[in-house]
Amino acid sequence: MSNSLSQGKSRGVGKARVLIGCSTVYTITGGFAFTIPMSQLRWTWVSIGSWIYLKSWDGKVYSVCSLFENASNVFEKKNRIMGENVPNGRCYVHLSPYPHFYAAALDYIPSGNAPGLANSTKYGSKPLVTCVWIAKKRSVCDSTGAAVVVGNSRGFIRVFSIKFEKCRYTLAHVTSYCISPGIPIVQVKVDQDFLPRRLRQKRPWLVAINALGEVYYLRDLPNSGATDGWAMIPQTARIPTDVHKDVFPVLAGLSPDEEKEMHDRRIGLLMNMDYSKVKEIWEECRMDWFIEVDWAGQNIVAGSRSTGSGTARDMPRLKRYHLWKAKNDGAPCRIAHGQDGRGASWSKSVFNAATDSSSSSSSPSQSGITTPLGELSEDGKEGQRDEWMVTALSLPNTFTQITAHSMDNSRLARLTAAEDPAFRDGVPGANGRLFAVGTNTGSVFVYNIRPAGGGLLDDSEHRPTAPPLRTIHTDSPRITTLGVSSLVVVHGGNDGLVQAWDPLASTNLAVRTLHSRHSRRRPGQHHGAEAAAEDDQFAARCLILDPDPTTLRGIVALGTFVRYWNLSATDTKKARKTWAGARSRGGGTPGRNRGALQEVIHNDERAMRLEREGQQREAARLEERYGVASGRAPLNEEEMLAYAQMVSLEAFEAESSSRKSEVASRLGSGGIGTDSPDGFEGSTGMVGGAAAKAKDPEDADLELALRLSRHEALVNEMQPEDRGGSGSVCQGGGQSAFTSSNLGHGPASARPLSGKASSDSHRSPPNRKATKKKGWEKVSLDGDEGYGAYSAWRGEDKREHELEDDLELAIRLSLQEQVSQGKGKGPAQ
Amino acid sequence: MVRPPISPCRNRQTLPTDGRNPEVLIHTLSFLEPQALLGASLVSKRFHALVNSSQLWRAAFVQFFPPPHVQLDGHGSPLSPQDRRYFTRLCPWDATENAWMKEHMQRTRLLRRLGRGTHRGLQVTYPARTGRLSVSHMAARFTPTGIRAVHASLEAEVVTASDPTTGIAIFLHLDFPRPCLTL
Repeated sequence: MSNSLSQGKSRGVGKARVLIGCSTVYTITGGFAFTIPMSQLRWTWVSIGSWIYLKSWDGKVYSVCSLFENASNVFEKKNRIMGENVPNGRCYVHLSPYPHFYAAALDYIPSGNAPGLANSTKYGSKPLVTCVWIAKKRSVCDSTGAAVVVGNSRGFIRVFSIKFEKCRYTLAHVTSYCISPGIPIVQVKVDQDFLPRRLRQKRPWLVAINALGEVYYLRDLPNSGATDGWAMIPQTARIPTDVHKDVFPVLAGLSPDEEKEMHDRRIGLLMNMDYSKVKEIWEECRMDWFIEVDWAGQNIVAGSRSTGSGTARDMPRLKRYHLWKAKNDGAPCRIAHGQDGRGASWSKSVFNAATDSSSSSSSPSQSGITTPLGELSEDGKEGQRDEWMVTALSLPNTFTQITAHSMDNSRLARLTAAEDPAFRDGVPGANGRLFAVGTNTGSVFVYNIRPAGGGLLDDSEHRPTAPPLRTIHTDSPRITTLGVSSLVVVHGGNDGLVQAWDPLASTNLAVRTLHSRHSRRRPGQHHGAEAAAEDDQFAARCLILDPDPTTLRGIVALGTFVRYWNLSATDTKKARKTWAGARSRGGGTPGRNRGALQEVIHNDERAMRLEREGQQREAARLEERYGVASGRAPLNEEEMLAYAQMVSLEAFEAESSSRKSEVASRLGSGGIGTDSPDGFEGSTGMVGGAAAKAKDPEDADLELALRLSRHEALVNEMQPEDRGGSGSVCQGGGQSAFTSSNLGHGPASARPLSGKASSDSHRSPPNRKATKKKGWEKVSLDGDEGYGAYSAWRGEDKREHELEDDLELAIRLSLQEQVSQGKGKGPAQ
Repeated sequence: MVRPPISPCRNRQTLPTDGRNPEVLIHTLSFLEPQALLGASLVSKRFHALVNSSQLWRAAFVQFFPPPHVQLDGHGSPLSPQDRRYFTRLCPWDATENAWMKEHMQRTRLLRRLGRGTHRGLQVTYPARTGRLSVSHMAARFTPTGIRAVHASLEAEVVTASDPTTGIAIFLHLDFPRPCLTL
């Protein structure tokens, strides 16, 4: 059977792909697809759940575990590691000797099984490389001695270190552990900030989770000797199903030797067992477990994504395990029974379904490669146990899958209590650490994975479930990647939308859209034969934020493009505002000493001045562009008041001067009945002139109308009574005419017409009245003034209402004279 | 020198700016923005002392960042349970005791800067040259001077490195041999 598979077409099943045609095998999510090599058309495949069964042409059935993305890890110093997720797969570590050498030696880690030997059990039979880890920092290599960690599908974890010899790096195998025989290791995490200081505090540096959801952690260094520092979180122990009893029946009454032998036999059985069988023996055997480890706060979040089938067994779950009391604390230890019902006690054998604990669960299997199981059970070391506290992070049931997760990796969040100089109770934020999950419905849930006590647990009871701190509903149909920093939570969706959100919910909208789904700059996507059907080139696959949250930098990979943003560019255009607040941003409020205060005042004044100048400039510009902006309307109050005052003052002056002239004329003429109308007329003329000068044209018209109307009324009044006294009037009028005309002409020189009219009209009142009557309509006045004036003119006492009534009369007479002049010549001419 | 007469209604005990009972004042001032709060410290001695304490800034923080929708139980915290916020702080430790002020100002300033329009900042989009298939894995190292990113496309078995600030991707020669499926 040919082993070299050439490229073939790919088919999609489920959500991910497996390409055996290429050199790597992997999945993207829980499902998988297959590439059937052209030359190997004899292969058929069947997929059941998350396992692949290969049936070759000769009828043998081989099972292949499903593949997952842990099988690749990228190291930014241009070293990379890629694990082959095929049976007897190897692990490639590409190490570059020097930064400027690109083509470097390709090292690979063999699977430990010689090809051809189907049942070699050095690392399990036909193990697949299921998870890899490579160090990203030199310090981790140095302090732990581990640079590469590889986990395989039979429960082995191998640790390698990097040696520098002969101008190149080489891998050297350090040690191997078998922590869960037969059960694949799903994910491995190593503390990237591990330092000798942490080693002294006996903190764990390696955490692994296997396919049953058991979380193991290691404290001792790999080359520290034979002591095995593996421990398991008791609440994560496996739960056997009913099948377990059939496969591994409980045998009682065995001697220790017999037990041990049976033990070994069983382990051997497990190592060679088909994965499907393994799956049946224990519950919740799945490959989509993930963990995120908060090393500083000693929290581990373990969760399963669920494949979206919606069954009760398949619900996604998130649990947070907090190391409550570490080993060797000296505090008396009690058996921590898991709150969720999973057993906690340590029993000897992995195969014992029923143990002496309250819940029926089996003990963790922990051993080095040589020590048999169960010998390290902690029955005798009660005080040496770690205690873990379990909290279920609650998820609403409106979705079926966790598709992305991320944890805050900023520098301050990774400091332990000892390394953090500011660690105290009242610190802002209570030293929380954010963890976010994204779902396949476009929602993001943000949690604080450090316990609410701020790490200082002083409460005896704890809540079994913790709700999310914030729920974000995005517009993306599915969240494909997440990035969390102390400031923002950034999500990337499968439509290419990348948005930054505030986990503290200062706004309910996205703070910033870093890449919109309608970006025009996206070039055409590649449609090639090699492009698999499931390769969504719009989706945002990877997202990395700067660990320093104040710099606002990040990178996102969208399809074949990478987008980098840096939003902390300092603004050079705007001058730094010299408000008092800006100055004292670092140092508190502005001091109260004299200098600072003066400076504040000075700055404020300057700012106000600038503002005012700006306003003036703006107003000037508007004016010159659009004309004077202020017409009548923008007279403000003072100006309007002043204007009104001015007008009234002028009116008053004019009025008072006219009255003075009237009085003077009256006194000057001496006659009672004669000169008053003249004087009044003259003064009327004057007043008329003055008034006409002072007032606006409308007022002049109004006044004219008034005059005419009153004159007409007066005419009607004067007509019946004037017959008798016309003679005297005429005479008086003649005399007075002189005077009045003198008077009238002088001051009323501006208005000669009115002056003449007044004198003429006065000279011939009867004629005027005779002619004028018809021409005028009778206007009914409340005309007491007119009559009053007339009666006064007739000889009665004129002191009362003298001024105004005579004025009105005079106006009327002058108007009438005007009209009569136009109509015909009077006899007095 | 003639002193102005003290108005008889000025009773020091009942002013809200009284130092004994500052809760009302704190609540009122907590609605202000950080810049305005700093300006408010210039009003009087009492205001200055108040603004320099962390109580006011904590209240302002709580106002600005509203509480989560679920009620958390308190564990004897000085503020009411809704006022506890859990996050990782942005500012490293400093000697002054007004950490809340720094945190509040820093956070609001950064959020504001982040939320501004599209003309700010630098955004670079460049091809990763990982072949025809999309990037599946990426690692990046951010340093104050520069950034280095490595991205890989598992499907296309191509790994490239790039400098995001310039947008240049380097194709790293890689030669992964095909696996041998021994079955």
